[in-house]
Order: sequence, then C-alpha cells, then structure tokens
Amino acid sequence: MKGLRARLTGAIAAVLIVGLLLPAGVWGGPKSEFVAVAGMWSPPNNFNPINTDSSYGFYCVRFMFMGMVEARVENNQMKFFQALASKWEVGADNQTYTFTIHPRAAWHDGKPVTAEDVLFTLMTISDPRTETNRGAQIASIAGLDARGKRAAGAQLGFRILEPKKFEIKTTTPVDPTMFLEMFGANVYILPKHVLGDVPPDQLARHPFFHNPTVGNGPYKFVQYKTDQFVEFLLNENYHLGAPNVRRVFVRIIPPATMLAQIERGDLDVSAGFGIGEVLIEDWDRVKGMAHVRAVSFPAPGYQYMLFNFQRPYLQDKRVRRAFAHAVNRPLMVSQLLKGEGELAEGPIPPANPYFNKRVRPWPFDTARARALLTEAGWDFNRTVILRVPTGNIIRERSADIIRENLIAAGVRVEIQKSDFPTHIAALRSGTYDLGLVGWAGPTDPDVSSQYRTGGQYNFSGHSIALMDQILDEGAKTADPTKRRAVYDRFQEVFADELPMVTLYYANARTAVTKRMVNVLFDASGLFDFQTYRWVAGTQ
Amino acid sequence: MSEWAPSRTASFWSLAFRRFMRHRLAVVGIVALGMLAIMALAAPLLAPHSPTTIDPTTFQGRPSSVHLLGTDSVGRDVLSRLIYAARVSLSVGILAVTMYVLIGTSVGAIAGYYGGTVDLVLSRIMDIMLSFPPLIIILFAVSVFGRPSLWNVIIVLGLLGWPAVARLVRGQVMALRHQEFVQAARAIGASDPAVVMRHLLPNAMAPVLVAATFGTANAILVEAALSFLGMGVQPPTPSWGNMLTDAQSLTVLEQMPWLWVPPGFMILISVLTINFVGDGLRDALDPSLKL
Repeated sequence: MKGLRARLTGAIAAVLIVGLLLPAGVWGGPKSEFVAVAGMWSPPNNFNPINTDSSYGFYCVRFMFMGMVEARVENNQMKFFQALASKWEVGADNQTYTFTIHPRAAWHDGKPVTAEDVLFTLMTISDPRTETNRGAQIASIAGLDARGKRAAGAQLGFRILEPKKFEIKTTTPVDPTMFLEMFGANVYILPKHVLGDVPPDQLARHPFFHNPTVGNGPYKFVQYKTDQFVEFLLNENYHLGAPNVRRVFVRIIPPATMLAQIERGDLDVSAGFGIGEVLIEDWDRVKGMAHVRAVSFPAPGYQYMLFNFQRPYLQDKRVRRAFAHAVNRPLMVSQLLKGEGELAEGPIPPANPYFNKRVRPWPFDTARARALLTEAGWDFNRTVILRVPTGNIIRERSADIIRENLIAAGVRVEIQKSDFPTHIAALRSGTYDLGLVGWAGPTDPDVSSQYRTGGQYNFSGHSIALMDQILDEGAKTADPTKRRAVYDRFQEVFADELPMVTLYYANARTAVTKRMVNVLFDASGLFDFQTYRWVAGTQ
Repeated sequence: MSEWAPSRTASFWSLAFRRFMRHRLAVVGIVALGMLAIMALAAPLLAPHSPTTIDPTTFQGRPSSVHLLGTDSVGRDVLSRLIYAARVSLSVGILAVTMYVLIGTSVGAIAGYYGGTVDLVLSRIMDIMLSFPPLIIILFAVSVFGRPSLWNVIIVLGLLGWPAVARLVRGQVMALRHQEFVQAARAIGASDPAVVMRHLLPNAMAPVLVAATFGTANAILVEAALSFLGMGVQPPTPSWGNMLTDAQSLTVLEQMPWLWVPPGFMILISVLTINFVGDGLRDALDPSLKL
C-alpha cells in the first residue's frame, strides 16, 4: 500500500514537472525575422468581416481584409491613409464621396478588387435578411435607415463610375471625418466572386467565414487552431508592398499568463485596448523589461456609473450631483490605475478633438455630497443597489471604492455582481439603482445611441429634451467648426444634467518587443495600423 | 426491549470518544478548529481595522505596523479581512452540511426502510444527481437562483449535497432492518417512524458523521472556488475565496505574497484540520475496531 502511494506521488510529481516545462519547450525556440507573434485574451468566434461578434474577431479579420482607408489619430487630429482606396474626394456639399480603388488591389486568388465588390458588400450589409453588425457604419448612406438597412424598393446612394471608381451619396451632408471613419475604415470589403451567389440569410453560416482564403489584405489565412492560435502568411502581391514579416501568429493567451510570455520573448505584440492589454499589476514590470517597449496611450473608452431614471429618488439632479461629489474618482486614477489613466469629466475623452476643456465640474467632496442629499430630502435609511459586471477587475475594484465613498456620504449601498450578459439584462429590466458599464466608441462625438431618449445604449432610460435637441443638431451639422461648438455645448449640458457619473479613462497598456519596428495602433486603439509595414528584427 | 438499543449505543459512543482522543492529529485538528471558531465569533474584537474601510494612501501596501498583513488591491486591511472571512467559511461549511445531512438522512432512511418501488425511484434520483459535475451544476444553480450571495451558496450546496449521505444511510438501514431487534420492535407494534427514528438511525449515524465532517471541508473549498469565480459571497464581505481573486497576475504571485498567501493558508488550515477530525472520527467509529 505504502509503496503504491509513493509510486503514485512520484508519477504525479513527474507529470506536474513535465507539464510545467513542456510549454517552454514548445513555445520557445529561436526568434526569426520572418515570424511575428501577437497575443489576445479570447478566441475569435469566426472571421466574418461584416459580422464577427467581437473585437477579437475583427483584430484577426484586419490582417486579411481591408476597408477603403485606415485611420489614425495624430496630434489630436484624425488622419486617413490609403488601404484599398488610393484616392478619395469629398464633394463640396459634404454629401458626395468618390473613391478610387488602388489599381493593383487584388484578392488573394488574383482577381482584382473592384467597385462591384464594394457595391456587393454594401448591398449585403443593408439587406434586412443579412446578419451583420456593420449597419450603423453605413447608416448615413442615402436609401438606408438608421440601422443601415434598405427598405423594399429603396435606391442605395451608390454609383459605379469606372471598374475601380465609385461614388457614394449620403442622405444629408455629414462630417467627412465621421464618414471616412465609419464607412472608410470600418467596413471591410467582401469578395463578390466568392460569396455573390449565397442567399443573404445563409451568409452568416457560410463555411467561408471559418476558412477565409480569399481576402484582400496584406496577409493570407493559413489556419485557426481553435482556442490556440490563428496563423497568417504574407500576401506577396499586396498592392501597397509585400510585408516584411512572412508569418503572423495571433495567439490566444489569458491575461494572467501574458506577462510570462512577454518576458520570455514568446510574444511580440499584445493586441490593443480591451482585448490584449498588460494587467495593471504587471505594468511596472513590463516597463522594466529591456527587450520590450511598453506603450500606453489614452484609450477611447471610459467607465461610468449610471442612474436608473425609473427611480423617482434618482430623478432629482441634486441627488445625482451628490453622488458625483461623493465618489473619489481621483483615487481610482491614482491608485487603481496607478496613474495610467485620466479622470473622466464627461463622455468625450480628453484625447478626442471634440473634448471641451472648460468642463470640470464635480470634485470629490463628501461634505458637499451630504449637504446636497439633505437638501434634496434623501432618505438616509434607503439602500441602493449597485450592479457590477464581472470580467474587468479594475471596474470590480472600483465598485468597492464607490460603496465606501457613498457610505461615507450617508448612502447605504449593496453591491450585486453578475456576468456581463446577466448584468445587461438587469439594466434593461430596470432592477437596479446604480450600475457600472464601460463604453468605447468611435472618435466621432455623436453619442446619441447612449444619451438620446430611447437610444440603443441608453440603459438608464433618461430623457432630457435639451440634450436630445443638441444631439440631433450635432448629427445633422456637417461643418466641423460649427459641429465642435454644438458638442462643446453638449458637454456643458451633460455636466449640468449628469445623466451618469463618468469615472475614468484607463490608458491602453500594451507591450511590443523592441525587435518589432513600425508597430502602431489605429484610431480605435484596438487594432494594429498598417500591419504590412511591420518589420521583425532578430534580437 | 426499548432500553436495549440505547444502552448499546451509549457504551459505543463512550468507547468511540476514548478512541478518538487517542488519535493525536484529530485532537490537534479539533483544537485548531475550535480556535478558528473563536476567531470567527470574536472577529470584531480581534480585527485591528474594519474589513471594508479603504486606506486611500496604500493600495496593495506591504505589511507594516499599521497593516500587519498589508493591504489588498483597494487598500483594505488584509488581516482584518482574513479574520472576518472565517465567519463566511465556517458558516457555509456548517450550515450547508447540516442542511444536506438532514435531507440525505431522511431520504436515505425512507428508501432503505421501505425498499421496493420507493427505493427504486429515490435511488435513481440520487444516481442522476450524483452524475452531474458538481461545480458546474452549483455555478448554474447559483446564477439561476438570482443574485449570488452567502445564503444562496449555502442553500445550493445544501440542496445538491444530500445524495451521497442518502446512499450511506440507505445502505445502513437496509442492512439493519432485517435484524432481530428491528423485527422485535415491529412485533410489539412500534410504528414505522418510531422504528426508523429510535432503532435504525442511531445505528446508522456513525458513517454519516464521518461523511458530514469531510463534507464540511469540501463545502469550504467549494465556497472558496465560487467566491474566487465571483459567484459566491458578494463584496465587500470578505471570504478567503474572494480574497484570492487579487492574485491573478504573475507580479502579484511573485512580489506581493501578502495578497494571496494568508487566505490560501487559512483555506489549507481549515480544510486540513477538519479532515484530521474526520480521520479521527472514522477510526473511532469503525465498528470493526475494538479497544
């Protein structure tokens, strides 16, 4: 009996030791200038350029499929660079957009990318039977409704001028920057000669999206080992120049193990904001690694605490202000984020060109909060429910701070945590008082979906007439200067009405090994920019 | 006749007690367990700080004279949280197990005593419940129950843990019900409940007690796992499991041991001591062992 047990223990120990050593052997190996390895937290569910359900999917899609342009924010200005299009012109009316596709832009099977492919992509997205999440990106095009869908008999504002040149008309004049970001950078073009005959309602289940061999981007699809990695091979015929890197692997690595992979040099690039960042605890250590460039940059997303407007006691502006005063937001930035972030003073980030610097209204002030609550007749025996989604560990920790801060101001708080889908369902059904959510949007300041009455992401259910009016005006205004004035005003009204308390903008914390050159992030902060220019050194 | 069974058990229990006291690890276990219980009950007196108060000056602070075991990721005193968390673990262990021992004993006694179709139906239900992977079904039940909380964890563990106990009791009751003393009790007209309660169950209790002890240790582990996954005790209430959620990065594991060693150690100690007690009880109550 004893002998057996000893032998068993020995065997288990051996298995454990081998198990610990094995990954190092498998994943290590010499670095090659031909291979780059990117890491992200979760697997993609498919590679459908118009419907993959998450940023993880789009991160992979963007190696294989391009839109007309790529976008990047430089010196607080949105800049556009050629991708499939080599030229684009904005009509004087801000309503006509002409694109010329690069003469050498071609599919991976050699067929040229044409205006027909773009038309096919737009017709597919706008077909009510198609499953897609790109609708909002094309909604401004003439003939489409607010969800980007085409009513029966409606004429799409699209004209083919030459095989590689086309013109798009929008319903009303729009800000060219907005249009170029939405349609230009975020709509990836599908191959008509491969998918043209698939009925729109069957497209989402088409096997092509698990094996997308015909793309138009700088890299070609090789294979996806489920939950392990995606492999790409360079497209030597890419029209903007063949990539220097031969193979790109996008590996799926849980947040906790990312640091070890970076440290060992098994990972070259961590995917961007929210999909492959370095944990805040690990950040100092990554900054100290000799072979790594630790890149942090203001991300376009922020965290906020929303109020349930169905509760009469939260409809009083003074109560909401009191809560804003009560919460120690600077502590979240200095301690939770270790300074890698910025206080959120409103729904438009400081790095955004439309940010209004003059709005800084609600300092941390417990006494002021208590006074405001007393003034508003707050019932200090009432317990409010703070709903918190799991997953984002910093956000979960911020809930503990919020609770302590509110208790200090005299408000009783009960925290309720749940997984994200349950959390959203609870917000939609209104079974909460306060709720934590994060938001990451495009650079464009039109935040109607969150703040307008009945907006898709207006979880708090607020309805503020003045705000609606300003948001509608902003969406219709095409002139950038006038538009800026409208959104300056919006931010002032937001600070006054306070439909929610914005907490902080966390910086995106990413790591890039120093052997990699030309690794940049695009305007969204999520994705890599111009991956065809990546160069991998041998150090 | 009715004096016969109790007098036999009385001497059996006193023998068992003597045997238990000779099991050294078990005695160490029960003393340590007693200390844990005192720590849980006297938490407000022992804890140097409130378990929820945030010290804005030190997040993830090293152990110091103010915070003997340092502070956690939101600046709360680790030692105080550790002490308060004993309440959660012990109450989950004791209450959940009490609940499922009651259910399991009743179901097992009914199945074993009546046999036939009743036994068949109840046994199949036990088989079905035992064939589910426990942690998955518990996770599912906790989320279906509405919001996760200490009480929900206790109720779910209590409702799902009984089949193992029921099987034990059923086997014991089945073996005992044809023995002469049971036949005799029936012959003089004792009712079914009286036979089960007075004659069968007292004789079937020893293995149940052992199972319950090991069950308590298991319940503490399950609570820790659930809280680690965020499906157990809700913040800011500390539990050893949710204290461990701080340790999800390599840097914390390597450079901030005060965040995860203390709660890990407490889980280890509590489970180990309860298992020692269980070992002692098993040896003490083994009917084949003589003094």
